Amino acid sequence: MTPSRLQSAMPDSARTLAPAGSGRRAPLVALRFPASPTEVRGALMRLAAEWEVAGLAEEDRGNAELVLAEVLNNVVEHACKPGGAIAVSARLKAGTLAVTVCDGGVEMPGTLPDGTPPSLDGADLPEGGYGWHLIRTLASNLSYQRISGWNCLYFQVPMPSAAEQSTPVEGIVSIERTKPE
Amino acid sequence: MRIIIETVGGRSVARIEENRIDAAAAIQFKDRMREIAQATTGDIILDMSNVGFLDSSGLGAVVAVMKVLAPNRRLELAELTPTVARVFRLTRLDGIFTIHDTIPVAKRHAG
Repeated sequence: MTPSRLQSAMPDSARTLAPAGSGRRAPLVALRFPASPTEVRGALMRLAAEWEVAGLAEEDRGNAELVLAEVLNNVVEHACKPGGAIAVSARLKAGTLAVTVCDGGVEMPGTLPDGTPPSLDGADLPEGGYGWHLIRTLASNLSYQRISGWNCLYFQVPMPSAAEQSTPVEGIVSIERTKPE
Repeated sequence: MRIIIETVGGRSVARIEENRIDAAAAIQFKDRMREIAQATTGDIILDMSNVGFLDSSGLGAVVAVMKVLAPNRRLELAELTPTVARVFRLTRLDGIFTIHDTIPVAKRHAG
């Protein structure tokens, strides 16, 4: 299947800067951006670009991007007020992507959803409820903490194509956006 | 949200000219498909060959479009890229939608 020629509207946050570190090693990427669907898209595209430069397989990149999209969409929809601060860090270590997503929004009520998939049997096919099932299927070691007014969600995504790679301590790409698009 | 329609033999192919059907695009996608549904009759096949990314928002939007067309008109999918195909498979919606590897060629009626 030929790759898409098209690029959806890409906010400035996703414009590729020269990656830090040498050659094909995956840097630690730390992003901070204001909460909005467009900003989430920019952050995901930025991360996906880094992972592509690092030579990760398409399936691994796709899984990581999908999990992060679901987590960030939940943050924007339920936790943060529009424009509220979101911080993401993603670090590769021996075939696992370790991700932290923090936001300054309202505390998560109750416990993390268990991701039971919505039933497809009824007459009315559900339009929602798929997100947590995708997160639970593709990510592991999920944990949530409330720290000093911040929500922090930690999780890991297996990246078999990066089994040999670890993030060098000295390679850090840090991007901060405070003005919402 | 750019979607191009081609109607042949009482059925339309709607080719999505966007790379991402995500939370930022889901509402525009639904709105554009509602316009297309009103402007056409018969079944619609969504050409997804340009869509490299679709999250649960996009998934919900596709389901919503299917429900707009139902019960008399079908929404089918074609040419899913690998990541998008995986989302449909993981949610088991690949068992609900008819998914074509390539756009099925419509037969032109004589005359």
